[in-house]
Amino acid sequence: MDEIFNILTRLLMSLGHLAIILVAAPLLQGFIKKSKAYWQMRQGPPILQPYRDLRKLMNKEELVSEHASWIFLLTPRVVLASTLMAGLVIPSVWGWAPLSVWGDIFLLGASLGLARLFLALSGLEGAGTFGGMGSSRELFIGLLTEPALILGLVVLAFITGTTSLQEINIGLQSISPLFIPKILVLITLVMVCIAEMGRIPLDNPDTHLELTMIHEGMLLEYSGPSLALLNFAEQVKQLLLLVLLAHLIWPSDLISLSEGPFGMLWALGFVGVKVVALGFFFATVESLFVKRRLFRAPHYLATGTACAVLALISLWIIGGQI
Amino acid sequence: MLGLREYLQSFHSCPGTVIIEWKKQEAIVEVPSRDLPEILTYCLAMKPRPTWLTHVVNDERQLGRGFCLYLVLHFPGEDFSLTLFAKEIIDEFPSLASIYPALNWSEREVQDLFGLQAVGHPDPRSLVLHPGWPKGFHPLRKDYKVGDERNEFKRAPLVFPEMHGDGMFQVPVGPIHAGIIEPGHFRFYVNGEPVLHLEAQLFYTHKGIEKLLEGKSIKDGLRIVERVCGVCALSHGLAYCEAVEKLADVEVSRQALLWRTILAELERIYNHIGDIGNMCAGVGFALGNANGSQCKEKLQRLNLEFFGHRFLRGMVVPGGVSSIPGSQDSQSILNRLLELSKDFEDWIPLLLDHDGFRQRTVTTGILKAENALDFGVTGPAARASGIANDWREHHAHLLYPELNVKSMIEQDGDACSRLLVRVNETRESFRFLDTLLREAIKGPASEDKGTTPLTLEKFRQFAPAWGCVESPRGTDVIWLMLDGEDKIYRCRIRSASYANWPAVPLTAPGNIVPDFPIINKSFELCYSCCDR
Repeated sequence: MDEIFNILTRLLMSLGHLAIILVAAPLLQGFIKKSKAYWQMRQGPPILQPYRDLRKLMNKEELVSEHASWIFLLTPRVVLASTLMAGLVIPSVWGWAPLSVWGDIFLLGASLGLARLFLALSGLEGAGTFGGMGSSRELFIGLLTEPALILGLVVLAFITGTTSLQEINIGLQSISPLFIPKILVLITLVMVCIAEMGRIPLDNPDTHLELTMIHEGMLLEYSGPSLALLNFAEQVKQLLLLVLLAHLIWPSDLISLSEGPFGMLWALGFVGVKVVALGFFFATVESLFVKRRLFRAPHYLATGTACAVLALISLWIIGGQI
Repeated sequence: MLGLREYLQSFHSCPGTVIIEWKKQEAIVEVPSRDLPEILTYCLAMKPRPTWLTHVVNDERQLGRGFCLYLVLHFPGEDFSLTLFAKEIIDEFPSLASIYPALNWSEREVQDLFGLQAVGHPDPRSLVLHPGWPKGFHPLRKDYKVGDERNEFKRAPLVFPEMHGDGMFQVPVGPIHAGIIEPGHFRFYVNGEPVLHLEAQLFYTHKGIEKLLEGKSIKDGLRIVERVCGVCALSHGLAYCEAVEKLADVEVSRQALLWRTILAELERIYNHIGDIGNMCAGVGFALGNANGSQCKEKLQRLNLEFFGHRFLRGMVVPGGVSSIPGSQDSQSILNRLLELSKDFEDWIPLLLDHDGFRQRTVTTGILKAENALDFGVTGPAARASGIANDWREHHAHLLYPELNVKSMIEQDGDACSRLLVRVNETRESFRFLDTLLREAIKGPASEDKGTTPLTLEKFRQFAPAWGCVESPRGTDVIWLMLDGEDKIYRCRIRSASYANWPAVPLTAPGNIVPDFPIINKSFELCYSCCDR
């Protein structure tokens, strides 16, 4: 009986995990926009605006370039699916990850990589110059962010002795917040997250200034439901990265159904507050910095990678071995 | 201008050269068109080097003079302007573009709109009229009657130079852009991200305003000229009024001059601050952009409140200004401006000391001083390349001589220098406005109503006159000729943007594609008054 109960609990919590991600992703986007508006002394769009935008796009007609092949229509679906796949290995608000111990950190990297591959391909599909420029720049940035991301996560795996993100979360609870390798890794991950979310100083999510765009460049040919899916996938990815960061910065306990509804709501609220704080932090960074010159992007990302390498070395020095 | 006069008098082909008028500061000299290249070469070699104000071709066949060409040069050292006037041009004239590249566009425009050939022009492609207009369509000829010309237009592709090589791409951008800007097509020739060459194709919104102005009364003309664009509305109107006043030989009262100067400076600060904010948008610096837009909006609301129009339209009229605020209003304007100036000083360090912002703008889009000189670049764009050519300093008009204006120059010619010039000019303008408004608060010394209505004056007929004002983008020149019934015979609008646009493509090569928006925004040129 216990076995079945456990499986059912796990299933329910996994569904809850997915549902929360799907529902909360646009809300986070709305909140970040509102925070940026605050810094710009504007009122900004209502916090629920991203939901309305998605609904609007879902009901719009879709135009497909005559040059486009099946990849063009497949991409939005693949991108959303692989982003959700990444979501399954990231610990939920209750500390659980539905697909734990399946080589999580590599699955996370691979899912994001798959989404990037398809996006870059679809950028070329419209046979327009902006899409091609967007794809080329995206791969250029991706080439530099992915090693930093994986390296950062691997250092965390060394610290906690596991590659499961759920176990890393639990393992980090017993690590001092001033543990040098951990701080260095967090710096890496914050920098990588900015790059992955396509935010200033690497990309500007608000602009359609054709000549400078990266992520928007690849989406330029999309319209209607496909664009909605891609925008939604981007919001989900943003939420996932912030949840992951929140868990790594302030690890939270494993919460099970036995804690009762109050305990579960409390955990939800706690993670919510952490994510909101991080979102406000990123909005602030975005308001205070300018977009860097494209060819200076390697310097920024090299700093991130260097932090991860330093973390590895300091871990080795402190622990005597890896 | 000693020397110049002797040179022109002793010019070897004397029969054709006639000094029509030679006053202390202005002269008109008639020369045969074939001698223009030699005379221009002589003038350009003079120190300090003269700049062009405007280049006008006029169809005066009804007056028995054939097509006439007027080239107005200004010699900054002596504040002297010389109009070279060549008449009896039949179907061609010698091109001056290779001697003075500033005239490149102007001569191509003449080829399009008058059907005269500029002989020896290095790049005789059509400019204003895009391919698709029929042969023989020359709308500025007097015998062309406006009406159903739109039926004659057939769509045809634009022609661009070819470029071949490994990894070479052409990136077409526009004419429709993402954003609320006017149409212009840019074609980048790139190898990866670095730009090798840029072609800018403008004149998508050529409205035929110069043709529209023909036959209009002076009053209607002002209304049209003020609406040529929404950037330098007041400068256009002011330059037009100066030209009209020259033709009527009237002096404007001191009180009117005072308020004209105030208005011109108000236009400058709201534009400069808006442009500074816009540059921030080019690098995604939201905070700077928000501050700039906010400050500009406050200034435009001030314009609306005290002068009835956000772009200050309708304030300047021939003979004076349409209304003069009382001393209480002047005091309120001054108080508001002091507040805004403090606000400006509060947020501007945010930009100037911002590492990321400097990193994007320093060494980006360099305009070399020699290019700026050759292309006759004007305004902040030229001053950022070390050319001290502020019209307010070089030409005694309005109350500028009393304000002792100095050109704000920077040496590097990059986007950051253009920004710094704007910042320094804004500070200076706030200072000028402070001085001017303190005088305005005291009120007129005597019974000075400010305006002399031009009703009884006799206008000179079929005589050329120009007005020139330093607009926020640079010198804005209106050239005017009236006919026998005091209607406009020909009005040529040479805006600052028209003079500066040809220089923009020069600054792109060597930069990467994502840096072009910031280069373009550092010039912040207007499409409408260029296209007209």
